[in-house]
Amino acid sequence: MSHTLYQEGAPHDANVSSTGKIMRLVIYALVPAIIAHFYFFGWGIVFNLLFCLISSLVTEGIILKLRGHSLNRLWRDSSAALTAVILAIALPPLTPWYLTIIGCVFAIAIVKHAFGGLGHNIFNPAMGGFVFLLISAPLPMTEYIEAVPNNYLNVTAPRAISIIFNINKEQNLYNAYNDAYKHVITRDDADTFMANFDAITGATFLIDAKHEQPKNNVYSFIKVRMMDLSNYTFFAHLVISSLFLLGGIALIVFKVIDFRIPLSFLLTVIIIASICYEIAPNTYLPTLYHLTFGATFFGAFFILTDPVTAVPKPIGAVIFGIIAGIIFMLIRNFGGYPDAVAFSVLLTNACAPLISILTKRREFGAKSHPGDIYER
Amino acid sequence: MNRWDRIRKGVIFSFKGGVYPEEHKSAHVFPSHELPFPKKLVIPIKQHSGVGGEIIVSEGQHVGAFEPLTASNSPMAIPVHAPLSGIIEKIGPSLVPHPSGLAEMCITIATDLPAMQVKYNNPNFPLYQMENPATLLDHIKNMGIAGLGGAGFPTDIKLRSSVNPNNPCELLLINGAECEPYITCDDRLMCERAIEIVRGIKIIQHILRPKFTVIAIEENKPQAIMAISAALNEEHCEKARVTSIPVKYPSGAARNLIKIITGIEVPYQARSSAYGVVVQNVTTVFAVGRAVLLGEPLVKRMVTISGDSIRNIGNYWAYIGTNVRDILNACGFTPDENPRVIIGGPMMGYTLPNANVPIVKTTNCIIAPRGQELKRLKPQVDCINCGRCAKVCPARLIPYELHDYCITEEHNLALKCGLKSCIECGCCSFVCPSAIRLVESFREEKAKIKAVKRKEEKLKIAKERYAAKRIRVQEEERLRAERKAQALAKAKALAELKKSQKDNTQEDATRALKGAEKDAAIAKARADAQAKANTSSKTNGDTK
Repeated sequence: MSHTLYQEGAPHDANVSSTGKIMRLVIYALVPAIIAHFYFFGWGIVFNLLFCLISSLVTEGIILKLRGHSLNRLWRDSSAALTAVILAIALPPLTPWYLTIIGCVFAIAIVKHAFGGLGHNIFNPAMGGFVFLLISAPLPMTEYIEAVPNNYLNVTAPRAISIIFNINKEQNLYNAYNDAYKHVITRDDADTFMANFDAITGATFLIDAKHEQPKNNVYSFIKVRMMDLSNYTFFAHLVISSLFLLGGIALIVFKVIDFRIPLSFLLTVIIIASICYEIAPNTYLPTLYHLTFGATFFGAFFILTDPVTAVPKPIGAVIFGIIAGIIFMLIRNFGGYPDAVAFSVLLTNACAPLISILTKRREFGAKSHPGDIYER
Repeated sequence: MNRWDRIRKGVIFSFKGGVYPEEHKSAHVFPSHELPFPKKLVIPIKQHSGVGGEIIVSEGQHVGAFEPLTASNSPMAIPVHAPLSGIIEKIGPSLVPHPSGLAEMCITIATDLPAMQVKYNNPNFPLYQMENPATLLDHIKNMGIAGLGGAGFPTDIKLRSSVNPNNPCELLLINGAECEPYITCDDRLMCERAIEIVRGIKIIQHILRPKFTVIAIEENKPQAIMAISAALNEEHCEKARVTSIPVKYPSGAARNLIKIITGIEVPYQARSSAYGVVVQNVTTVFAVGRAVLLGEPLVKRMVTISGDSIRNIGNYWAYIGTNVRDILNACGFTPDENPRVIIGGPMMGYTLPNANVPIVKTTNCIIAPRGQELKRLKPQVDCINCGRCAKVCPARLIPYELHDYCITEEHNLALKCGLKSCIECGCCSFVCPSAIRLVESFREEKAKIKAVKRKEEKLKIAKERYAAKRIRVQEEERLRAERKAQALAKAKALAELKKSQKDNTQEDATRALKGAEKDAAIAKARADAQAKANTSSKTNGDTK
């Protein structure tokens, strides 16, 4: 036995989880929602994903090399890929290519690595990148494509590419609109289609509702837009939100994320939205629309729960979710922006370190007394 | 249902945290075996937590089996005994099982042939019911019994703190949980020596007089549960029951076990005896039984030898002092590249830098894993605050936060964050997705805090010494000044006397003498005042 014995600290065993695995599980949980996106919004999401992934991974790779890390971290923590996927879903489906790339580079280089890389960033990288784009280029960032079933047949790959690269954009948009029209005609509900929109891109329902808000006209606006299950926009958003919800529940079941942040966030949103709607139904949207439209479930399960920028302590997580919910509803109901996930996430991220310091965990045995054994 | 009903009926509670590592307990099916007769035994004189005793034997002396080798009056020192008869070959430092390969004082015995063994007779108490608990406790100490669950705390001290009538033992908890993976020696011992364990329990019951006794066994040991239950009936051990508890690591940690059985959380700053509970490991109880009934000191214990690099895994009876390398070779050790030899379980044990070390009282398991049987650590990456460590911490700490304080050497914050409550169970490191060595950093921080404390104490002593020296020097100066003033005054007086003698006037002379005395007194007063002023200003300076 002349072998030198290998030495290591205890414990000598580990379970199989790793940072990369956690991140990849989150990506897998997003896949159903991405497919629904593809179904309702066409090929735009595919190119968003492609551009985001390439630019994020290249940026991450360059910065890892510059910081003297090995490139296999790209796979080992997979965090850049997750940031790319989240940003790709958050961006409008036909975002110009340069905006996508700028957003990704900003997210990875400035929001993440300038603060010390994975585990040290204060703000959620994807949301940082998104807000950067939203403030710098408000118009293209609020121009969404209308939801139509089987939209991948209308917004085809070549059309999406040409729109994204701004080659013959108007013509391609028009073609897509025509196809959508024809497609729907065969399905025998042309009236709904005509009633819904007159072009294939436009402002989202939330933006339109925001415009109606000063006129105290929201309630009748909803009636005019026929926001029920026969409406494509509503149906599409309902499906996508449900898939985010399902993905989120799967993550909770597989113990990738904790239920506290999404639950407290959603409860806060529901409570505030219901109160506002009860008080002034003409000014504020009903609770169901708050949950369905925009990125409410996406934010609750996939963005707020980013462990680096959240609070992992049980009580802290609840407080974190409540603060995020309050900011979210303040912006949506009283602020200038139609959707509020990105801003509420960033503002709550800023509170996270303080919440973390101020919340304590009950120590083992803090409540017990020596006489406990005699307790009746 | 009140607490006692629950305890009596075996209704259990659960504790927060804990992990479920792979069990690897295949060695539990193998009945225990004797190892080959050792030719040489190396007995470290300190094998428990406390202090070592003084050696009472000398080189070249022949000792009998069970003969004490050390003795001490200190309560924290418990003796070691010769497991076999033989000649003392060497007394001196030798490698002991320790993660850093320390050498400590050891006694090496060249054993006699098996047929020529001589036994030293220790007192025994077969009729222990007639004995005073104090006598039995002294005997337990003299037989060298320390907690065999792993910590090695002197058993007699633990028992003594509950003999006190102001702080009686209400519940005796026998720990047969054995929650660490691989280790099966307690399981085997309970299966094979249930009667002797129950006799040990009865002795401890006689000493402590608890209201009730619970033997807690994890439910993955059905044979042990049956054996102990049967033995309790057979030995008519009353007010006792076996409670099976769910499999979870670390339910065998004393405080977690108390929580499971009674629902009481004993804080880490308090002794469990203050809460009326005494926890003893089954192996310790077995050793107590043998020591009291047969007068056999703790010289032999069951050790689990396991791991894929071992051909004949199983449970073996090993004499204290047997060489680990010899044991491994006897069991068919076939090392792979970078072999690991782990003493203790995979969660809390340590890798040996050198296998040429003896078995000690607290060695319960030797693991020689092969390849990825026990996963080798991945390179560490940065913490992502996922909070998994906090979820599994059985001490309800927040390890990721504590880790931050440890690596930035924020000693006070680390202590505030509960560093002292950490039992180093390894759950946090086990689940960490970033492969951060949390437990290692906590151990390091504990050592650093200890070093800082020692340094501070040293500094305090040095300061006190310096202040004392300064006062002494000032006192000397003052005395010297006083003597000088007196001498000067005397000289002056003499000079004046001579002068007056020249003048031949008696009156002048006497007057001069008086004047000189006055001068001396004034000078002395002045010197005193000055010295006082000096010291006071200096001491003020000190306090500032």
